[in-house]
Amino acid sequence: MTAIDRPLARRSLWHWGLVVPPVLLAALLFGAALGETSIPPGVVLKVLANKLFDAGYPVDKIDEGIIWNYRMSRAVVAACCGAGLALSGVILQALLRNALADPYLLGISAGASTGAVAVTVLGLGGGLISLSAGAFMGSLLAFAFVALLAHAAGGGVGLRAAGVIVLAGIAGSQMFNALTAFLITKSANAEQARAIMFWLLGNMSGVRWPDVASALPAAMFGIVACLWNTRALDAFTFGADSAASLGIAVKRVQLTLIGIAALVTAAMVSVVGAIGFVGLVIPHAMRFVVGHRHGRLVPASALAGAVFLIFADVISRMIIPGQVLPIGVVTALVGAPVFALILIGGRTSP
Amino acid sequence: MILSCQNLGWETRGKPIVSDISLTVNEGEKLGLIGPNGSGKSTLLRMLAGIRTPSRGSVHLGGQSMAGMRQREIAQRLALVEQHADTADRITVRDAVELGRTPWLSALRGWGAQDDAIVAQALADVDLSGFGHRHWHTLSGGERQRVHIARALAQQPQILLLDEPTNHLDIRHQLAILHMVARLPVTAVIALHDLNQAMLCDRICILENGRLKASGTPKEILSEGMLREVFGVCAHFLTDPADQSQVIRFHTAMS
Amino acid sequence: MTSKFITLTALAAVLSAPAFADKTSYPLTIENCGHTLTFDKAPDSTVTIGQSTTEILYLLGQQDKLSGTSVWFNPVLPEFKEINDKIERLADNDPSFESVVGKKPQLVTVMYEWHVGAEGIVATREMFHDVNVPTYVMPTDCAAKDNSVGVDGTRSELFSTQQLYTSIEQLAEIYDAQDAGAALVDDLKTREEQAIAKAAGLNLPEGSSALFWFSSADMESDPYVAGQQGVPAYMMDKLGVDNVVTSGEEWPLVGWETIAKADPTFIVIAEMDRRRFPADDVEKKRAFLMSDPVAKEMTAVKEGRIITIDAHAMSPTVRAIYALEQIADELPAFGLTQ
Repeated sequence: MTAIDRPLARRSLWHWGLVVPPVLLAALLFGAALGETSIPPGVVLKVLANKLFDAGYPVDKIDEGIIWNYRMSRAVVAACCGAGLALSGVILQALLRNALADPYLLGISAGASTGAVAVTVLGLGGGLISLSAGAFMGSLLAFAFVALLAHAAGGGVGLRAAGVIVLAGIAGSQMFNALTAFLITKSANAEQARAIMFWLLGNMSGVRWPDVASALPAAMFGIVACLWNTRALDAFTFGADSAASLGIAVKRVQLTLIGIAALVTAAMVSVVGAIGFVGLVIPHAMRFVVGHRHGRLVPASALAGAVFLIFADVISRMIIPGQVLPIGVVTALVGAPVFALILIGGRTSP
Repeated sequence: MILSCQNLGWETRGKPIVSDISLTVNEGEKLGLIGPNGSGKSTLLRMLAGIRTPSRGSVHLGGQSMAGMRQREIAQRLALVEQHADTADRITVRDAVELGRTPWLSALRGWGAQDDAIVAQALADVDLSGFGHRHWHTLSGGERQRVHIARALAQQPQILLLDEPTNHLDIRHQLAILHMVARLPVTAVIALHDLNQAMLCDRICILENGRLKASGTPKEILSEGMLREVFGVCAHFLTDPADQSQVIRFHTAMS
Repeated sequence: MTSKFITLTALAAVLSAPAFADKTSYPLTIENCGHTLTFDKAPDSTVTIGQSTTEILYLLGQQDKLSGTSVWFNPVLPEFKEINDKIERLADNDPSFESVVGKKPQLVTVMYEWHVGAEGIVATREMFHDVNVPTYVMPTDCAAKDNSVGVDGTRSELFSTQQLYTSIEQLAEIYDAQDAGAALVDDLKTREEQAIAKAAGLNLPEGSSALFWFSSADMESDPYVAGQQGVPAYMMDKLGVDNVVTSGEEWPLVGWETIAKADPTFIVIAEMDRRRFPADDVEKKRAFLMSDPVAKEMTAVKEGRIITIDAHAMSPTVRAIYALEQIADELPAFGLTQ
């Protein structure tokens, strides 16, 4: 990197304003145009024109419903979830100084599975609580447990605290996973267990426009919080003590950002299940492309996460004709090799 | 802008690491902190830097209690160079030094040409001017130490706290750093291992088992008796014919 | 003349006499789904794991031989309600191995291999055989069916009611109730033939298709629909309609997008008592079809061509035959016939 591109980094926000909307719109269009069945691009454009601009083209009602209510809503939710999960990964990797940190480190997905199982298998809530709500509450409960455990284990400042948080997260995840397994073996049968497992792997089939009301605010919240704190995130480069000596209110920033990461992740998991690899791989991949500065890493990760998940959803529907793969399988199948390539490539390049 | 502490103490799991230390750093002086390993130098430095909350006592910065100050305010007046700060991120030297400007930037005040100039000066001060685009992981231990010092300098502090800054440095750079710090128009508190280097300080404080054993000028404090008692070594003071300065020569203590 | 008349009447008498079913001769050896079962006498006590076997045994008049039942999808056939109330229900769903063995049954009848089979969640067949409890698995679940592929197994050929009749005949043989067995099979075969004839008489247009929807894990998520070889597929075959689902699995998950584009001519939804998933409720299924932005545009939904049948009829049970009749009865009302 030469001194010439230094000024670009300073004008980063403007720059992103020019790049993000077209890329995002292209990805959304992609998600609306492709799916389980083949619908001609012309029809796709007409439907979008009808819905967005009241164009009044005559289109088959089923095609219209598929493109707008199924695919478009799914693409929007995928974009929100991808961005939210990627940014949660960015936050946790920056604050915990751990390259393996991903949004589920804090027990979120384990807690979500327990909550989901409690509602569907045990019938907790008497049918008034939906699976999503149960999952959300479960994940927050697990996060609270992890936070308390980390605190009790003596989370002081410094690397020690990060290590403690990671270990507490592992302990919490294991505990809630065990709870889920116990509930399933005790009360569920093969069919319920299968349904829960499918849901856990990530499932966007049931997504409709109302789900955008959960996913979009969470994603926006996460994006704004990260953009506001890019300097603070940079300051953690050499650890929490170093950040403190640079004037960052370490405890406040850690609590706020980790709390936001947990909330955003919990919201996403409650809508689409636990989709893996996005929060882990996207930040690493983007560091490789735009560097470490969070002023660039944050918008890049949000955009890449959004686009990646839209693509993964489309692939999960098209790869086996007549069948839909769980999206978590696709993200892992794509994410793992990409991760490997990054690791190898990272060694040889400066 | 002076820094002082009163009855400062820190303990962990019931064990006191630092007890009842009161000292004042005078403006413009270079204060050395010496003491054997485990005497609490790092802990004391951290409390003075405001990044560790004391169990007992208080720290005052410029007459104001540090406990009531915002971290950002502290960072604008005081910078800390740590012993073991490292990162796995693939950052450049310039990135690392630019972090030093953090306490001065905000949503309202973005990066400017002035900040570029400050960073360039900081790099020049530690003799790393051409290193801006080098990557962190390609640097030697000594070079990394100098980058940390440059980062602290970029903070433009009035007080510089350094935790054993000469570790890992080869002799040329050890002397360069010390002389550079000596020349800087900042107040400095330096934890040192090398007792001969401590002789260069205006004043020194000796820590033993977390307590302040003595403080004063090197001439006043560093006596053969003190060295035997605190460090367990036999020492002789010699005069360097080149500039008539005092040099300490060590032997093991005869029991 | 009189001699011919006498011969004819004698012939008629002989021909119209009810076929005498044999009495079972013990010891009886039966090959059943890869295991050999031997019976010295008709079992005195039975535990059923599967509503289908329970109802078959009631239909064979063997209620006195039942000591426990389990795995219920729906209320028992109304004519057997009183009888059924007197018999202990070990579990609405899957019983535990110990609760079954604790009744010390002389036979355990099984509807699905995923309850008692190689991957059985209650037990494997060997576990029962080891404690001298024979297990009889209905051939409907193992004949030409690989239960290790696909979550509900995969059939290699279209379900045939013959498998059901074989099940009935074998159970009748085991319990030495071959009279009742033969009568039941005759009755079912007759009804089946009538239903098939009625269906053929419908003369549905070429290319008519159907969808059989069992349930969904999540109300708006991909539904569990009937695949190409199972009982619903058999019904569709007899009715002369195509299945919009192309998968060979028993109950694959197929997206609503694919189903909507295939636009089935009519839709059959399952009614059950179970409330494991919200979509188990047939009213919720109906509400979904009416309100989902894509599903409600399907021709079948707009024209009200939705038939509700007993969920249990979508499995290899006697109810399947009754449901075939029901569908053949309801189809004319849709005005599809040419």
